[in-house]
Parts: sequence; C-alpha cells; structure tokens
Amino acid sequence: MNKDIYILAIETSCDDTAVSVVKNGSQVLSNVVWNQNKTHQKFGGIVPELSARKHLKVINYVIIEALETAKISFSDISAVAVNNQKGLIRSLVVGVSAAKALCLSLNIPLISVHHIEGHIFSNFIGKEISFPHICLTISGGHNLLICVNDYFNYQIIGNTLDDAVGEVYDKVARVLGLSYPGGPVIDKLSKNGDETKYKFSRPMTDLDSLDFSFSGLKTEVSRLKSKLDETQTNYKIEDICASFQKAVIDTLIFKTLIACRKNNIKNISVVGGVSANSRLRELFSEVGLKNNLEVFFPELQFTTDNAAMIGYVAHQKFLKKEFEKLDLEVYTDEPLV
Amino acid sequence: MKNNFLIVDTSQENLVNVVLSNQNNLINLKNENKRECLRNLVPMIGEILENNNLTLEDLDFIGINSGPGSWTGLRIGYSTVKVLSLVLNIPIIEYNNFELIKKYSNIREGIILIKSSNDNYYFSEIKDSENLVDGIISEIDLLEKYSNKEKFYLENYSLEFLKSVLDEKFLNKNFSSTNDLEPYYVSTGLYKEHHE
Repeated sequence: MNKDIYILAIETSCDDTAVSVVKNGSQVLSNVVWNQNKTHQKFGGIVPELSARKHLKVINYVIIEALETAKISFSDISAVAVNNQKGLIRSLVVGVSAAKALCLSLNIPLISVHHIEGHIFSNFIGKEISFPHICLTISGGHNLLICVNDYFNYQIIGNTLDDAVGEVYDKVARVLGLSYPGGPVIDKLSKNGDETKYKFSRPMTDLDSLDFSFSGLKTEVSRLKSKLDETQTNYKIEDICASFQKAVIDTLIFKTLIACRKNNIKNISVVGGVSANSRLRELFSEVGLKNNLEVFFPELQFTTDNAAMIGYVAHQKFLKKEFEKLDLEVYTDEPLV
Repeated sequence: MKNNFLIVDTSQENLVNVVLSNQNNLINLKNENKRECLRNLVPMIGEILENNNLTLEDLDFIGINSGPGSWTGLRIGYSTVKVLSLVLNIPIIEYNNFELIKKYSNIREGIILIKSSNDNYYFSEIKDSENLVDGIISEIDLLEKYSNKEKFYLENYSLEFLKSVLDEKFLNKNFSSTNDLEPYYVSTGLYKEHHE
C-alpha cells in the first residue's frame, strides 16, 4: 500500500497569508486564508510594508489552523511547498523563510511553485480539464492568456500592457468613491445597474493582438464621472459600474475567443480573483454555449490567492521529485515561461 | 538543561550572523554578502549544527536580535525562528541592538545610534541609565537636536559578551511568546498607526 502524501503549502505573495494541506494531490484538507483587506482599505490599495508585517505576525497561527483543520500534525507532512515566484518581495520572503524552517526542522523536501502556475491549476481541484486548454488568468496582479499544453508546458499568448484587470477594478472603485477591493463591490452594484447606459470602449479589440490594456478605461470612467458631477446631471453609480464592468467582460471574452480560434482549442479555464465575478461567469458561460466551447471556473474559495492551488501543483512536482535546496530565493516578477 | 543555544542576527543589511553555544564553546558563522540573507540563513543554521554534531532538538533556546535594523532582514530571521520554535517547541529569547550597545558601553547618559536607510538613524536616548525615548531621526535633525550628547554606535562586541546577555535572560526565563513575535521596527506615523 502506498503511503499517503500530505503537502503543506504556503502562499504569501501579496496581502493574504494562506496555508493549506493537500492530501494525495487532490484532497484539500484545509485552505486557510488570513485576509488583510481591512488593513489596506483606508489606502484604497495594498501597502507592501504593512502587508509584510501582517504576514509575519500571523504566519504561525495560520500554519497551526491549517494543520488543525486538516487533523494532521507536523510529523505527517511529506513536503512543504511555497510560492517564491511573483509577488511583493517583502511578503514573499516571510512565506519562503517559514517554508525553509519547516523543512529544516522536519527534515522533509522543499518544493517551489510559481504563483501563476498555482492559479492555472486552481481549476483542477475537484475536476480535470483536458489539455490543451486556454487559460485566462485575471486578478489584481496578472492578466494573461495562456495556452496550457500539459503540466509544466505553457505558452503565454496574451499579456497586459499596463494594469491588470483587478487593479483597474480597484482604481475605478476609488474614482467612484467605493471601497477596496473594487471587484466585489462593483460586481454587486452592477446587478442594479443598466450596463448599456454608458458607452465605454473595448480596449484593443480592433487589433489582431491578444494583449490587454485596461488602464484607459479607468480614465474614461474618471472623465465621465467628472463630467456628470460638473453638469450636475443625475446619475446612478450602479449604471456606471454595470457599463464599466460590461466593457471589461466583453473585452476579456473577445480576446479569449480569438485565442481559442487561433489555436483550435475548445476548452477555456478562467482563473484568478476576478474569475469570482458573477456577471463574468454568466456571460462567459453564455458565449461558451453559443460557440460550442466548454468554460471552467474554479470553486470560489480557489479564485483569490490561496495555498491549496500551490499544494496541487507541488504534488505533481513531488511525484517527479523536483525538490529545492534550502538556499531558495524569491523572484518578484519571474516570467512563467 | 542541555547547555546549547543558537543566536540568529539578521538585523544588519549586509550581515547574517549565526552563533552557536555548544557546551559553552562559542562558534560563529557569518555571511557578509549584501542581500543574501534569505538565501543563506537557513542553510547556515543547518551547517553550524551539523558541523558540531548537534540537531535543533539539542538546543535550550534560540536567541534572536529584534533590531532595530533592516526590516526585511529582521523578518527573514523572525519568520525562520518562529517556525523552528513552533515545530520543535524550543523557547525564543529576544535581545535588541539598543540593549546590547547600552550594556556593552555601560551607558549612563547619551544617545545610541544605528544607521538606517536614507541618512536616517534609529536612536535611543539614555538618561540615568534608562531609555527615555526610541525613534528614527535624520542626520540633520540629529546634529541640531543632540549635538551636545555623547553618541554611541554598534561596535564589534565579543561573542562572550553576547553570550553573557543571553545567559542572563535564560536564567531569568526571559522567554518570548513564539507565535506573536515581531521585530522591533521602531516605526513612526503610518506604520505604527495601522499595525497594532
């Protein structure tokens, strides 16, 4: 009988302190995320130094909770996985130091995982998506179109030229005087808004390119709001939210469909924090049905940053015995390929 | 009591210092490469123990320099030591640079200075052997405000001196509660306010 494999995974790339225990690659026994949104709310965005301080302050508690929820102890862990690629450097070092200390004290292997790789496979937890597929990663930190050929075989076919889509949500929220993070609040308000009320551009949909550029949309929203305020026109913030959101989603769908057509691929995987957006899920699914494409979304708990996705990828590396030495470093913006 | 302990000092930007006290023998491992703290700290801990045929379980406690100093360096040290302590149930004893300098130079009155980034200094004002106030000060303000005070800086203290400081704390059971530990950032304004 094969021994069960328990991977303890750590993810501290941005403002969430996340630790998870993944059993045999597919069973997520715990997925603890210590969220810092309240800390950063006052600033309308993330303050890196504060973020790093919070990670260090709570790291032990998050590890303890992940083990307790999983009902295992330190001695059961087979390997420790950590995201050391992509993220805020001050935040990453806290998670990586903790991971190394676990490995040294338990004498078990260390596995490194790229943050984006984690997101790609966040959609594999509890289901399988066949290869190749097109993966759209959308969050506050990344905005990529990736052709996923197999495990560890990726090709980036589209990238953002400026702000990632989640970042634009945050900035638009700030312009509209809404709270941080912008995604959930704009999504919620949009439900009571008219998405055809204002005309925003669909950036770069007139070009034969799979790249994105959303920063201009923020300027458009900002200009519209100033104009409406100046002319003392009555308006509903919900309508601006809905119209802005529709422009974003239309653009994402448009580019993803081109990516599928160009590569003759029928499966779409949409991941990252923004993939939790309800209207985006609706519209993507509609378009999928219409075009005979299958669209997959991760469970909501695996959309935003989490460690379970790191654990999932780490299991694949564990099987290949792809381990790291304890002199592992961090890379703040390491490309996926 | 096993009579062994480890000291981790990552408070200085360009220095990782690991000290092992093995049956009162003092061994020191240093790395003076800039920005290599993350890469080297854990391997150095493994190495110094292995070279002396000890394991983490053989330690009575781990000492850690709480600063002030390089914030990232301190966090690397703290994250490492907190987790080692959590897994193996080893107590942690903290000491800080102001305390070291004050004891080492036997200061009754004066100002202790530790270079920070951008021409700033962490300072601690001492009067009647007590710390009056700790803070951050620019080089210019320092000249203006404390021109007549005697100034003390971080010096190359001996390992024996460091050991004596830690020994005393160990005797007094001056342990810190592992899971809540944070470095001594000496921050002001924004960071202090939003980081309870």
